[in-house]
Amino acid sequence: MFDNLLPRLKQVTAQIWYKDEECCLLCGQKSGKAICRVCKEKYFLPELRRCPTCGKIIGKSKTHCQDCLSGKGPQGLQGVTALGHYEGAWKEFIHRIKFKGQPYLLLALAAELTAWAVKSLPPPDAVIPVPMHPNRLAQRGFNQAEVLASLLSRYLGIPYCNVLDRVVDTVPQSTLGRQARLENLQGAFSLQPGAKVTWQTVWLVDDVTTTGATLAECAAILHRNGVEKVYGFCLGAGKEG
Amino acid sequence: MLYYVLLKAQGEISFSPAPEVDKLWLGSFKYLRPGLPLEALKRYLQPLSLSSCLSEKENDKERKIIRLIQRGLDKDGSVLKEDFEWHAGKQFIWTEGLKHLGSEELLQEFSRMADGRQIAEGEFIFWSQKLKLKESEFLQLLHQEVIRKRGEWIEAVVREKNGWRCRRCGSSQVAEWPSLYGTAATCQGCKSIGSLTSLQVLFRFYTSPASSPRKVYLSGRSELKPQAELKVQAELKKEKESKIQESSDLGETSQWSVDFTPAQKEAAKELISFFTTGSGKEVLVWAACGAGKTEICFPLLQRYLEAGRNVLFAAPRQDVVHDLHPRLQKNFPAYRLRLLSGAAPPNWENSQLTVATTHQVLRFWQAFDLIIFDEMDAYPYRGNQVLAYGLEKALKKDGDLVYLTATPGEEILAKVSSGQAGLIRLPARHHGNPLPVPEVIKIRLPAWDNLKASQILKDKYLPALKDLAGELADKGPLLVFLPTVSLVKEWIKVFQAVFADWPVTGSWSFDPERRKKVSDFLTGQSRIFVSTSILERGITVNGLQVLVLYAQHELYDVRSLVQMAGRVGRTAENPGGRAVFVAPQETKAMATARDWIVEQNTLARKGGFLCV
Ligand SMILES: [Zn+2]
Ligand SMILES: [Zn+2]
Ligand SMILES: [Zn+2]
Repeated sequence: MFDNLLPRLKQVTAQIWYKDEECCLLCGQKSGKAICRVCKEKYFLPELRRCPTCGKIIGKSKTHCQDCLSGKGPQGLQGVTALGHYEGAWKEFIHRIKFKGQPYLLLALAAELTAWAVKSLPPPDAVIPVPMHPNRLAQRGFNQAEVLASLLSRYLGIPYCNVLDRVVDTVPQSTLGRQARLENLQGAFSLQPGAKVTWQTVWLVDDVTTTGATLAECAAILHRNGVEKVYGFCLGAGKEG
Repeated sequence: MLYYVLLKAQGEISFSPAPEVDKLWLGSFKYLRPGLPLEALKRYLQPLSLSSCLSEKENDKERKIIRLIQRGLDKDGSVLKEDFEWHAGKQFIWTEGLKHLGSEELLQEFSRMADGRQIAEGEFIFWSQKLKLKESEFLQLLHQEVIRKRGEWIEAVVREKNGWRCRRCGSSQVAEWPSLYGTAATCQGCKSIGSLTSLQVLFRFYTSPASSPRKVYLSGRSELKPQAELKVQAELKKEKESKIQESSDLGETSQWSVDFTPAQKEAAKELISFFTTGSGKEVLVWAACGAGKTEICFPLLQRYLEAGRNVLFAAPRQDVVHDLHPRLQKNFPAYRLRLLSGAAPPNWENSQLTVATTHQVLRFWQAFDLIIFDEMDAYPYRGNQVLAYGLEKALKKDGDLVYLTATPGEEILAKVSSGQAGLIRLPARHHGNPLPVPEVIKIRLPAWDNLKASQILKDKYLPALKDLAGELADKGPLLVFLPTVSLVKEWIKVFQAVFADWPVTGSWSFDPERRKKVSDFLTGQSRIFVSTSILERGITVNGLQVLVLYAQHELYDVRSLVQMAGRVGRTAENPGGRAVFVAPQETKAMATARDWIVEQNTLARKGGFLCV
């Protein structure tokens, strides 16, 4: 639904950002860029690695996070990456997008987002958003994962395919512990009736990942329907240590 | 938030976010599912209200409503897939209790907190936490207040013929984005106090007599008598408010924390009699810089507070508000004072006396009987339509407005000359000395584009400027104003090179060390301080001298020139001093600034307020 509206939005947003473009979106300091150098180092931590199983930000010398090494991580994703550490001003920014009616803010970060995705994940045949339950979608009026996925799709010229449904209105994951999170999601998603799945590799897009459980649940459905490789992309993730 | 269309037995229509509450209060009704944003519903169903007086058959009406909604959604480009269907209200099953709606204690606490407020949807969660309710319960409470006509649901951002308009701040500057319901919009005018979108609502709570006991009738459905209750309220309101004392005799002014000068006494009396004799609803107090304009409002304030009226002291800048707060507290210890500013923690208490930044005013709706607006021409208020709109909305319909400034803008001066607003002058400073009149000294400084310190140091006019600055700095601390940040940075280097033995420093608005540097200067730790307009207002330094470089710059209007010159001679110890504008020619703004200052001195002399 966001696909056809994006070109228009870009214009509108360009006008709005004209005034504020010199200030960093996270700290408000003058920077001449959407995100200043200081905030980039603080929140995007580009020199650190991401746990390929769950997306968590991990130390330079590590290959996986502790949870995934001990087998407690989500199963079935071929890779996951997150742009930044879900903390402080970056967390607040994601909240502005999700809860404070400012999804258009993502447009200012388009270059940042696409550059990180391309650097971290292999090229896909399609970009798929993690769906939101119709009740919640009705209340909020938009799904931030859809906005993010359609933005990546448009900037990279990769097809946007909204093929999953959220059939159970689950308790928000953030309110639950690890084990409960996994159980909470069982049977929560399904393939949209009549959807055709023809891709080998896809990016699965969500706003935030903590345990990777949501991504894994969606990936399982895609695998079952013939997708070979599913990679997760998120705005924010936790950090180890 | 989503609203349902309610169709009552008499064919009347209303919108509800919580039909379970309507079920308590109304007779039978039908409601339409799914719900939609209020803005969309109201707009789609507008044609209906015109024709609703025609008594259509119920079935026809139901079908027509669905048709109008579907047509509207299509036009807006909505991608909503659900079908619309009418359901009987009596089938509406609500499993959770609504007991809290009958709690007298809760309703009173809410009334006290929400008096005269506009609550944005995004803030509901904080209010429910504060009241220890679930968000859904809080919503029910709000809707009950709407049913009882004590409040109102307002679509936050509405679509108009050519764009959008925010109903909190009046701005039409929005960011559009695609939503489930078609293009949605987020207001850019008031986002600094929390964003509002076209999918959201405001809850507007009408001002009621504060903390007065109210009868609550929600013990059982049949006993609901909203009409009776409204009557009780009206009576209480009468009891609570008494007449404002009319005599403009100030009596003892020693109760105030500062001694009133004769000029202040005169202005304070004029201010009281302006309102008590019904001369008007708006008045401009035009004061000389440093004449103590805030204090002269205290006697008026006292009268309004004693009569049970709500008063707001508003100023555009946070630093001004934070400076006002302790002064008001000291002078009105008997009243609870509420401070609202972006920097202060949220304040839930209701109180008769509020001090707030102008942005916070957007959170109120017809809440104040008197608004005193300090430093009205200071950025960010000056020329800001959003804040002007907010101020107008926060004032009660018959409320009174006082503007305080040393440098009034065109708009208020036009109001004064057309008779729409009154004028009171406060021309003299505490110490009874005239304001120093600025001098213009013609020096052609090097052009400011891409100017570097190294160039300035080679400039042939530098010796003349050095002599002038040295002369001024010999008399007292010297404050040098420059129009732009880059000029400030370069000229700091110049002054440091030229006056190598003196402590020279400077700052600008985004300087991370601003706070420390400024406070060092105020406590006498630098001899020369180079600055942008950040120090144009509000500071008092004993013996200060002022030098304005590039005074011809377009950023310097009459008002900022008067303010900069107004930094000189503010203390009794050093009532004189020099303010010098450096420019190739005298501009119109400089001449007018001089005229304004000379005029204040003339008025002060005529009034007998000068002692020299
Ligand atoms: Zn930053
Ligand atoms: Zn991991
Ligand atoms: Zn607004």
